[in-house]
Amino acid sequence: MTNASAPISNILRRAAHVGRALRDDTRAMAAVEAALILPVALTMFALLLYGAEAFDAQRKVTLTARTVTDLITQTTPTMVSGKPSVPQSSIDADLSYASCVMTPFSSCPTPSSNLTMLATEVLINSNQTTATVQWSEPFNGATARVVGSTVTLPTGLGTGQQGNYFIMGEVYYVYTPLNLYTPASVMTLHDAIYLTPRASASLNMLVGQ
Amino acid sequence: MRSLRRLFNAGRRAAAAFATRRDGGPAAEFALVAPIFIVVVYATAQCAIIFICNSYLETAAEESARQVLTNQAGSLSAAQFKTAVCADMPALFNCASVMISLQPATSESSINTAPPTFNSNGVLSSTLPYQQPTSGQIGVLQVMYPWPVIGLPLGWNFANLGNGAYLMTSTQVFKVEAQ
Repeated sequence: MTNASAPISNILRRAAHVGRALRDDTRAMAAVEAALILPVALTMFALLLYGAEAFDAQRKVTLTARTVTDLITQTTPTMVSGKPSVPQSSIDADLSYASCVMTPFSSCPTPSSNLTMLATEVLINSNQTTATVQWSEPFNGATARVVGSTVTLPTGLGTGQQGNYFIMGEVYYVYTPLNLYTPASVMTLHDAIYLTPRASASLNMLVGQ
Repeated sequence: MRSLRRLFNAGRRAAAAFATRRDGGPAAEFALVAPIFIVVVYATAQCAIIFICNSYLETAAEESARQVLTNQAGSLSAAQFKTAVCADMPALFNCASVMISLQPATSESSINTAPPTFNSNGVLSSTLPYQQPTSGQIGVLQVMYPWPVIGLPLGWNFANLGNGAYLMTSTQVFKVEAQ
């Protein structure tokens, strides 16, 4: 028993000695401190860079969505078979103009492939929380919403609005952060803005015009 | 001759003493790690300043676009309009460097949002459009600012313009209201 415990106590004594030696070793303190703080400093820098750029891009995404919805809702409609209508080309042009707001994240007037937009007219359902798609116009490769499909409205937006028409402008921007120090994943920034048509109760889109 | 040898010996002793000196080690180590450290801290600060000022520029552009779309800026010359834009900016910006481009969008391909170009002295060499859109027209307003950045060692530089500046751009698109 004593034979077996002797080497263990030796090891412990040696370990304690090494521990003391390490504790009392004050050489290279500045280098060790720098090595400890540098990963923290680099992570802070990288996170600030992603956060700042993503925040800037998200602000422009919201402004782009507001711009396209604003331009479409201000269009003066013409009466076609009893409905206030706008040609499809006018809506396409509004989407194109609004895409310029994303500069410098997207080029203008030809947008970058990571920016897609959607203009949709919805009719608020009687449950006041969902809406039905009337028409949907995609821009730069977005997938149009299916006519007659249901859109869930943001909380409170449809309250008391049943039977009213909204124009919904949506912007999707695929943001690829600079891959520096900490790995960052690609984010899809998105925002949707709802506005009512200004000059008429609804806006019918004349497809192909 | 003898004094020269004495001087030489003294010099050798001093060199040997210097080589075996232990104190001042942390200072020497700090001198080694300081450049990396200062670069990281400086880059973080510069990134934060660019972000804040970019946000200020965006806000100023939104407010100026509102002046145009509400027909409050119709009679202003390019210089007067620039002064009006600068009034919405904090003192961090130098008004002389602010660049304004304002144009009506009559067709999708007519919008000129090409980034400004600068000559070798850092002076704007391209002509930016300035034309007030009229009621009912769609206006495109761009407010740009070349934010001066200082290049850092280790290849860290935020500049995206040839003159060592970071170009901040804010674009506003709006429909001018009826008068």
